[in-house]
Amino acid sequence: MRFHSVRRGACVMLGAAALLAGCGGGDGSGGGTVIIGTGQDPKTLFPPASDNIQARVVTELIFERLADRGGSLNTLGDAGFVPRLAQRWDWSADSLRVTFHIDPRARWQDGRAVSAEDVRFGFAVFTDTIVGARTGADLRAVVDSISVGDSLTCTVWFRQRSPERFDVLVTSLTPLPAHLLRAVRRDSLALSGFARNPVGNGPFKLVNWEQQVRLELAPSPSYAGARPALDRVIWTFAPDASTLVKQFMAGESDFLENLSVDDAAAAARQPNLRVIRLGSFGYNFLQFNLRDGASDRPHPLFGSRTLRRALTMALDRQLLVRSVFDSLGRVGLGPFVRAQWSADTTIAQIAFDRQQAARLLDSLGWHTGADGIRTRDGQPLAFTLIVPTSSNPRQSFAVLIQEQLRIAGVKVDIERLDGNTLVDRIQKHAFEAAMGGLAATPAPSGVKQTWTGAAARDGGLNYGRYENAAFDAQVDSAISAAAQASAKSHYRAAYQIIVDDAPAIWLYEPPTLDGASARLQLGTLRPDAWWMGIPSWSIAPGKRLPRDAAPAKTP
Amino acid sequence: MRRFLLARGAQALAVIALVATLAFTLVHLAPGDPFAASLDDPTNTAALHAQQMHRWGYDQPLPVQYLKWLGNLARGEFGWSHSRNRRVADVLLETVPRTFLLMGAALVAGVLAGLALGTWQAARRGTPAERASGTLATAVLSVPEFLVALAALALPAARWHWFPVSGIADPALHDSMSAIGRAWDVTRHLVLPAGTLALLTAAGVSRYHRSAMLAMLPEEFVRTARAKGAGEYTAVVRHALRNALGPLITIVGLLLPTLFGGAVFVETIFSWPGVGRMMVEAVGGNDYPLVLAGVLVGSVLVVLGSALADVLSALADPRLRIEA
Amino acid sequence: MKFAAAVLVLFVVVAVAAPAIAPHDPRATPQSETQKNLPPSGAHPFGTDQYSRDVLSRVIYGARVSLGVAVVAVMLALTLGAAIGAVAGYAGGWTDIICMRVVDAMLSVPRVLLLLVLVASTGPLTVGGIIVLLGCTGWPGTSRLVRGEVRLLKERDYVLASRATGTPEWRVFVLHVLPGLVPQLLVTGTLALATVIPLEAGLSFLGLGVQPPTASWGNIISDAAGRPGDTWWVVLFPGLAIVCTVLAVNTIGERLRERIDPRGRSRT
Repeated sequence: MRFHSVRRGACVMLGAAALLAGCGGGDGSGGGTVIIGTGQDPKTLFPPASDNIQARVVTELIFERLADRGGSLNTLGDAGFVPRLAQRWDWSADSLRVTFHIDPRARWQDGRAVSAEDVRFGFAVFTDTIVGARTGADLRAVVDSISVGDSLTCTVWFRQRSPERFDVLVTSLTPLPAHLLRAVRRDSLALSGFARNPVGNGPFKLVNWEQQVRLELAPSPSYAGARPALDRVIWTFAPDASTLVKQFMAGESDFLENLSVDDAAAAARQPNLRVIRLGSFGYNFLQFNLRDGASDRPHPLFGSRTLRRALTMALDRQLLVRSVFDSLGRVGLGPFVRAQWSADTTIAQIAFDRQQAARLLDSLGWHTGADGIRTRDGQPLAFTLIVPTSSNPRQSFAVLIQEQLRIAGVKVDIERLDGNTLVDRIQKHAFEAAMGGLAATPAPSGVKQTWTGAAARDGGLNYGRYENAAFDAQVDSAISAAAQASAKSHYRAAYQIIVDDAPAIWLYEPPTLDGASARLQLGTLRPDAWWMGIPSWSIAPGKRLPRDAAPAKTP
Repeated sequence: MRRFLLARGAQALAVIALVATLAFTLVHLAPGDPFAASLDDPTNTAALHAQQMHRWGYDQPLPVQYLKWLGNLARGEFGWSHSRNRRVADVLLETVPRTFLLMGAALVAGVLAGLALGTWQAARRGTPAERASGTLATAVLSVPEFLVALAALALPAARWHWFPVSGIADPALHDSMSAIGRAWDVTRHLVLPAGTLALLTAAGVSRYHRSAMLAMLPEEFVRTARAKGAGEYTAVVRHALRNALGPLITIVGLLLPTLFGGAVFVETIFSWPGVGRMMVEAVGGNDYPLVLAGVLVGSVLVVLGSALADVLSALADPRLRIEA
Repeated sequence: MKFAAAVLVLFVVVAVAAPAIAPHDPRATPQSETQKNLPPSGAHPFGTDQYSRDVLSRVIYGARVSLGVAVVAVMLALTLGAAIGAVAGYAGGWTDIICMRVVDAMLSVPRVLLLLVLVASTGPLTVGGIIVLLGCTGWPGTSRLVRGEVRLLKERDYVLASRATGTPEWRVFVLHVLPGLVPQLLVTGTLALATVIPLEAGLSFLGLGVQPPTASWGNIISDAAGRPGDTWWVVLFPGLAIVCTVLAVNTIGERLRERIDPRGRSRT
């Protein structure tokens, strides 16, 4: 690896030059080079340990899974799923087993054939609590075991017929090279050399990774599928958001994820750049703590459903979203995003209505005092809203909400906390209201882990501890419904219940805006995983740059 | 001389040990921890988190953690960086030389420019141009590094495209360049960040050097020399220059902490992958072992700098040795 | 000198009278998005920022925070430094050795690094917290100075005399030693201001200092630094404010130093 060549340089200047020295070679077949700017390194390239988005992006290009969700974003059954490592799969009659037939041409990047044993080994690693894989719990809940038939067939035994079992299986499990990793102790797998120098089986292989500087991928010669059109994909890392944007605007990078609304507008004005808007998988809300701190008593304010509804009514969410995101954001509709198949835009919302909100608050005994703030029995109608300093939009929303609620006679104190402290407070339920946000996936069943009564206990993610048995029942029915239509109607019922109960004010789905150089031919980007399209990206003819002709470095 | 060196070395070690202890205490008082959950990520469960904390010994009492850390440090083992998933020592091997390159280039360019400016100012003392340049130097010293860096990033790089916006080398082309091409590539990336630091160094050095020169160069000398013609004048300046250079070592030693502090901002703004940027990222990620290593590197650099300056001064002037 | 003093007085007046001078509420975010990122104009002489806030008003209010933080932090540092230096100088022995090694240790970590670590251990700070941090990292230089002077002065006749009459040590220090140090402390304090103002701005720039929406010169800049160069006015005006203040303070500090210690001109 490069960084070992430091030894050579006696003087500092030479040392750094050597640091960057590669050993050129290979010949570019003319596919070109794409540079992607990003803020952070992947922490690791060991798939079970990957816990940031950058790690996911890179490992999903280096490693292939049995099947891929594909562009339909369906998560029920196996409809729309595309064969990858597995050429095909058959279900048992009782649909509790599925047998995968692995592509006989599939190879690990060291030349070894991919075998059924690698699938079983991957499952063992992902579900081993010592390894601590993020997706391990999901996998354990759905899959009982995996057995190996012959070297190319393996059978997955499910625990029950949950409709999303196939989706959970193929998105949570990455087959791993058993021949390389079996000898390594499980608890040190994530720290082993493999985590920095992975041997995968996907369309790309790692060429080089210098932390804080760059990471380079090139098409893998051992990959059986179509060779990616590009010769090289390079990520450059810059910690400062403005530097990333300037780099992109100056043409030093070709692609930049997650532009702010203002940067997107600036990029759109530049003829050599374009902005792509993707469906969003995040939703943000003002979360009420329905209990009084960590105790089991109801919160003096937010224990009241009517009060929560009144506060929701007092907010002009359209205006809030427009103020922060111009025309690009969308008002939140409930605990789901529009890009999920379960989404329903017809759910009756608590509409903005200042008069009605005032009447409700009056009816609860909160009457406007001298300073414009409502009081009841001498107590002002006031609460503290905690906001992470790390999120600009959330801070803006907090400030705007403070102003709108002031008009309604509600005093909001904003407390800004850094990410770590905020998480700590929320997990301990030590808050009244919080500017929350959740990253959803195409699978709507995630709502069970975030808003049901089960998730309100034992370190679950329902931090506001909203509990409604009718909601829980509808969610359970939706999750276990086999047909999409019936699942949809249960989700719809569940969403309507929770929206009416207003345990949170559903604020916005932030716009996902990606910037791309006009020289890139990208096809359609998948909203849940734009990077899955990289193998088909190419450079437009006539728009090639010197960097497109540069040969890939041999590792 | 040996006793002086030993005493100075022991003192330096004691200071570093103290720094290590202070830093350790501060860092571990921080809220959060290296594995603090991301709010938006529902997959980081409390159980996973507790498992990680236990795995790395962060659930042990602080004194125990401290002793372990000291023990490892004594064996030259800095620990494991959680945010980078590598040995801290490996991270340092990568980042420290880059910061040295940046600071070294800034120091060389800044000191040379400062010397030239200071000498010129001393020779041209009292002229309007000299006074203007003096005011300018003071003005430059009043601009925070991050403002200079922001301006350098916004205009010569982002607007005029004279230099690359960020990084240490061309991400796509560097590897296929010739040796000279690569050196040129790194130099191009170095100009703005090192230039930012060099500008401030030059302003500081010039102010110091101007007064040092003036102390060596009484008014009449210059006037006479000027009267006699340029040849003699040059000789006088050369004489004064030689004598004023000695104490410069001390000044450079004193500049190191400022320069290192400036590197924190410059590296962050220009994405220069050195120790300063490493520190900012490590602090953000609560990566305790890496933060501690960064503090140690910074203080070792400063302590070594001042110790070296002391030793060199002592070599030059034997009277100073008695004091220690 | 006079010009520098005038500039400084102007900034102080602006800071004190901020509510009277500022044309707009520095935190006000209008209920529409039409006021975003406007370049300087008659209505907004310094333009508006990405939240439609008036930059002039923010710079005016920022003067309050930035100057206030710097002045109080420096006073705190001087007080701490004088107290610790006096204790070390009088007590001598182990107390002195320990104090001075701590001073060495603190001086050997670049102050920015020290602050980074401190901020990491406290989380985002209130304005008061920042003052304390800047104060607590600024004393070592002063304490070294005071300790030296104390050791010189404590053997002087008038000090020995007043001690002989039974006056307690601390009174001797306050009545006889401290007055002699005032000019020195004044110079140190002035020059310390010139380092603390950029330091606070830098921390705020890294997002670790004064938290928005409270305006400080540093965080006005960092709010805009994420934008691609087309809102130069949001960076330029607070930047100029920082540079002018520091320049004025530096000039005054230098002149003061020359006045009390003409030999010291060659020090940097």
